[in-house]
Amino acid sequence: MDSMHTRRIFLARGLTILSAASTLPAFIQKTAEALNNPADSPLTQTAAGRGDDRILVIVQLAGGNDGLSTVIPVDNDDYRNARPTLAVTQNLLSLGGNSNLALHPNLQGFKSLYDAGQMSIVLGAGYPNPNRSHFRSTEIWQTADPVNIDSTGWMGRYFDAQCSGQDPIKSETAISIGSLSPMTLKGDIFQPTSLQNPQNFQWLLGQGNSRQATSLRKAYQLLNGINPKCAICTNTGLNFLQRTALDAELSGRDIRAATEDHQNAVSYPNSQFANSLSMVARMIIANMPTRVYYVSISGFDTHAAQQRTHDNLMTELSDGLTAFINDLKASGNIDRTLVVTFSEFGRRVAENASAGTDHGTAAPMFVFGGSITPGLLGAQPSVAPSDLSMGDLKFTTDFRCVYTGILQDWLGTKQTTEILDGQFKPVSIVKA
Amino acid sequence: MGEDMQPNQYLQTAWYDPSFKWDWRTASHLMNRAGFSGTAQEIDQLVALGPLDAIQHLIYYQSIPDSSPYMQFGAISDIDIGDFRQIRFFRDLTPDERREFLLLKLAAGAGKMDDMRCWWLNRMVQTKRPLEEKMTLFWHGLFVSAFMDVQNAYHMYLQNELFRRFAVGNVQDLTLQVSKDPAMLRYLNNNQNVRGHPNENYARELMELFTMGIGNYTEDDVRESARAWTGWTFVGDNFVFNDFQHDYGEKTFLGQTGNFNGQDIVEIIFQQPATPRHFALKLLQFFGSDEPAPPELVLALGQTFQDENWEMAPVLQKLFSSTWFYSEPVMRSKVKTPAELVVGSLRKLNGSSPNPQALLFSMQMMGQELFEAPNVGGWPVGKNWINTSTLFARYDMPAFLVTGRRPIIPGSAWNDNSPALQEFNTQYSPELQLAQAGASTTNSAVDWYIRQLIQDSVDPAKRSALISYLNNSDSTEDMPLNLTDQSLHARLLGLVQLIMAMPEYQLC
Repeated sequence: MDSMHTRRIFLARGLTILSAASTLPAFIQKTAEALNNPADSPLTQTAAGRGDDRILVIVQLAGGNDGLSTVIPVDNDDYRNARPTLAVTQNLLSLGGNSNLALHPNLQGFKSLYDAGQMSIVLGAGYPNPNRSHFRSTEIWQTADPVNIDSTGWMGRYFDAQCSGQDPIKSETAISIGSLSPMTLKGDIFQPTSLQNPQNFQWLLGQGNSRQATSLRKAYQLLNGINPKCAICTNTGLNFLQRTALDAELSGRDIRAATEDHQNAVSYPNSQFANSLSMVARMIIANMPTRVYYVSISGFDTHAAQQRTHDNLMTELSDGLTAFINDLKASGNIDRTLVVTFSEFGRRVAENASAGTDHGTAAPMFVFGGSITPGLLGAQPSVAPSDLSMGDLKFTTDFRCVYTGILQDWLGTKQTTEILDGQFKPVSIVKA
Repeated sequence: MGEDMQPNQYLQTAWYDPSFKWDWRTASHLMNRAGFSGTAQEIDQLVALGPLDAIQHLIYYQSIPDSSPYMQFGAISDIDIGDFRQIRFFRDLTPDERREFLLLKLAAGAGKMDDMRCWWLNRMVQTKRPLEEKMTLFWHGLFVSAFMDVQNAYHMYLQNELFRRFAVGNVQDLTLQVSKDPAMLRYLNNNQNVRGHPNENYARELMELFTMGIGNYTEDDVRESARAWTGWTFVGDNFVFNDFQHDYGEKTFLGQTGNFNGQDIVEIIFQQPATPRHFALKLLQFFGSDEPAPPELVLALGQTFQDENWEMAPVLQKLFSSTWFYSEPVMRSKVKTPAELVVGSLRKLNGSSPNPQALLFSMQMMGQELFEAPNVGGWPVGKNWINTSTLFARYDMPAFLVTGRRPIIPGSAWNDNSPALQEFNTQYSPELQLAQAGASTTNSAVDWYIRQLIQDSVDPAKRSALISYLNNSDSTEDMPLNLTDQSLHARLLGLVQLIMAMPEYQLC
């Protein structure tokens, strides 16, 4: 039974909403209608755009990945002088050409994908007036705003822009793995789905077919589907909670069906990161209507004793992502999927007194997919002392140029300027 | 008492207005915010005291005995692995032995942290001085240090005790003590901040997140402050001023010049106008409203900090007595943090949890693992606690409280058959609570539980849904309850879990 069929059945039998008072916020009323008449409701539409089935996977490297130990300057005296103990010089995986760059030895999976034209690297990604606070710089990458403090993310605004009239885009159109929902996906209107564990993604007590479970479920749906009288209408906290409960109800069945009833085509390494990716792969294979997935891998804030930690992270990153890409290839989903990694900043050129590195600036972004422009994009920042800014790399690609490429060329939106609040020369990360 | 309040009324004493009512609703609101919500008896007691005495009873708690358990630390020798090069015996180990030692230490640390979380959760539930634990939680979320970076359970404990000692004490003094705290020194790398190789992390976060807020200082101020903090480090479990590593030179910080050290930095920070505003904002958010507080209120409460020489107790008294605190937009509209939700639920069901570990895991799924704030900015606020994943974690948690385990889903591969949970026997008895309350019919039982758990009225349609569930029919007729009827037991447990799976229950 495919998931579309299951969803229609669920909706038909599903939530019954008591009398819709005239004070119901529009979205709740529409959702109630959608649940009862799924075929008619605009709410069962997905976000429109080029290639209705194209997917974007955003992978966050949390903590500030040391770009200079990831995409490595080869035979470079300035690099070796700046890093007496941390310079990576052995077993490098050359990126060829005149690049004088190589990948860290533990990124073998990446190298294979690079050679097959399914991975590219955007070099020196950053932004003006770099901020070295984890907190603030992550926010800058997620909101695409280096100047003001925003409360919406760039993909959240993309979804808001897709929204016509009063019908919000379904929450499961963007799914993040983890318990805290990233700013990237949050709009003024659009709210994403966050998912940690599919089997816990339901009100457990109301599951099953016993009489007790059925009467519990019926009561639960009433308690979570009704908007109370007008006095509390202005209580935005309550409205938000009710909406989230409805969103969760709508997406829960789909997600559980996708992750439980579908298999990965390859085996994944044993890490939380790989496990998250395997869940995403199953949802893609199950043809969920989700357009954007967000996964995070943490541990990159290597202020001290960096080498062992970073080496392990490279393995975890490469093995996990390579399995994911291979899974998508085997299941025929690679051409419609684009994967992009980012980190809130790179790290300083010189190592510190604790055999580690401190917060820096520009760093590489990795791009994967079946439809990408392969190779190296942009220019590698120079590590020569005279080319640095207070000991840090100068960025060569504004990350908003990468976002423009994604929005315009991959997702096919014409509203890039509004979404990013400015015009940026796109990096062509996908083939036209 | 609503949105038409004038700014000059915000901090006026609420009960000077004749329309103010001190009753179950306002008293339970105070208990929700100043503590972790109250049992029926506790709220009745506060109502009887009247508002002024109730507030003072909560704030000036020192005369109430602290009967909560103490944390036991055995002979864990917490070697600072960041400075392992200094430890001679570690050097003598082979690489394999070192790896094993570090793994053992990691496991010991992690295990101890689990114990500490259970310990703190139990304190929050059992304490007769709820504001003490609530303020400890407040400081824990403001002066952030996370075990993941500190890697020393005893130091995390010392920091927690520091917050408890200064719970309602002097804010400036606490800030100085935090600057000497080993967990904080490690978390923000000030132990690596030395003359000639400054590390700006503590200097920056102290101003950006702890005391002043972004935009009230410059990058130069951060750099100069970092120089002033050089040499402030720790050895073993104690603060040490390493004067050889200290930069004694002249610094210019926030417009003043001198051979400043850390103590001077704190003093200068507390002279800035941004500082009282910053602490006022934090307090108003934590105790008042998830929505941004009106600027006049922030200024007024900030002024109170200065008038009271940074003593927290009188500032809290002003806040808890204020018209704003009892206004409609502030009441019943704040998203409960996971700690408030879990602890409050335990308290309301008169329980202690035989399995705090399961509740702590549940809190983690809700996004709050104690001692592991996700970043130095602290915990999420308001709606940011709520998404589809955390909402189910909140809705599924009550099962642990009333049945001791996750619900069994017939035929599901995901049933938790682990022996530990199966042996577990909860002590929650709905029959006992209802008998004590004298509720002998379905309507009165539902009304009692709504009052006990939501502590406010709910939409009549929702009340009807609960009654017909309990009646096991479509009727909302007030039927008698036979509390000795075994088949009713599952239904009563279901009722409690249903109420706790309502959106209203997520707010306080």
